[in-house]
Amino acid sequence: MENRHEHERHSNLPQYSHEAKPVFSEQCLKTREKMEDLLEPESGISQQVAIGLNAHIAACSSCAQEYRRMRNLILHLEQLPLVELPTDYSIPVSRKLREMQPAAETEKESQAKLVKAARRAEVIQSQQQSKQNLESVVQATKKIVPLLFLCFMALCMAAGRQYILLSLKQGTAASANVTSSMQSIPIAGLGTWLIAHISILLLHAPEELLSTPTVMFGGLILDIILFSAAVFWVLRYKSINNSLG
Amino acid sequence: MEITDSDLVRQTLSGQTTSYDCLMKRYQKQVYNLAYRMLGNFEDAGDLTQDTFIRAYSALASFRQDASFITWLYKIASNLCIDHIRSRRSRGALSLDKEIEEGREPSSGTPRSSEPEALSLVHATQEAVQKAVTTLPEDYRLAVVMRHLHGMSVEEIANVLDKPQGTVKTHLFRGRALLKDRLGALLDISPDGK
Ligand SMILES: [Zn+2]
Repeated sequence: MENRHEHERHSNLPQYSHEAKPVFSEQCLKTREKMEDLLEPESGISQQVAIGLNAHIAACSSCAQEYRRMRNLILHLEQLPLVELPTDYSIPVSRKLREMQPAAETEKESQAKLVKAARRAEVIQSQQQSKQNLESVVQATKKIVPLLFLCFMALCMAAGRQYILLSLKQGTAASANVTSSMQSIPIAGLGTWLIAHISILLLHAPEELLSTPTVMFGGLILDIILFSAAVFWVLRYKSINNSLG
Repeated sequence: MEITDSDLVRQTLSGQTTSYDCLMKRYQKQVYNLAYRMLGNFEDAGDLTQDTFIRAYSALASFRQDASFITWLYKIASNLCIDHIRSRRSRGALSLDKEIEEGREPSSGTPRSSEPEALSLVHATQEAVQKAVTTLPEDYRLAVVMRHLHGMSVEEIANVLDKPQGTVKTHLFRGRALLKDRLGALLDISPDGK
């Protein structure tokens, strides 16, 4: 029945048979269902069934006709000649494959180029990165070195002043001893002392002018204290001298 | 001793293009015949044969060396045939009858009858058979062509079409029944003209 349905489905296609179907017996229907198995070596039909089918086909003209047609159909199909090749298709196919090959290679090449460019970009980026790192180190060094230098200078100055103060105390103490024993103003001694101190001050000045305002200001204050101390000691000497005189 | 298909495939994959020429020369006739019986048109069969070998070349790396190369080619060719038939149908550019008219059976057949009248009758039947095959639904057509024109077993067809053997058997049964109905009395003549 399925076949009949298929037939109707393709009824617009070329038809080769316009015969009226005869009425089948149940045996006929069974035979037609199994008929192809007789012609199909792979069907695995049992010998008993085959004998039964053959017996019906031999007795029924309608089934015999169907069987003959099916057998002829298979024979016709199997004997359809192998068509000859109009040309050797390996030639155009080889040509097409060769044409495809360079295209494929160019694709590969462009991909390789992309990879190369990406690598180059990576190298440039890493170079830039290291350059930036170096730059930041230089910048930090530029900040740290003057700071260290200033610290060093400040330390030197502090140490220098400490030493000067110490020397001054010793000097004034010594001069006080000298003056107290001399019983007169030791002009030469005081002059020498003053010249020494002023020269130290003068030697100090350029350094302090070049340094930061705080350091310079601190230095000046210290110098003023030192100068005041010198004046104080001179005045003290005078008063001692007067009380003695 | 003839070099095996798998050796030729290996050589092709290692860059020897002449090995692929050998494979093409070996199997192009079978692929062309399958395409011609499926499409019923020489020109389309030629195009499809070329497409099959181009497609096979691009997918050669995926070919399993222990498999049959011709079975693998048939698989590619049958897929291309179905695509071709479906696209042709959806385009609806050509009527099926016209296509069948275009695909004339070549006169290279070798009917066994000596009588000229019987010979022409056999030839006419062959043409009618080919035409009728080309009108079958594509699944039935593939099964019938592979089974009866290429002598493949049901198992091989099932392998090529990636379908269960039962389905292939059903397609064969229905395909043959359709052909028998369509050819009718023409099948009263056997190929040897009796
Ligand atoms: Zn019967």
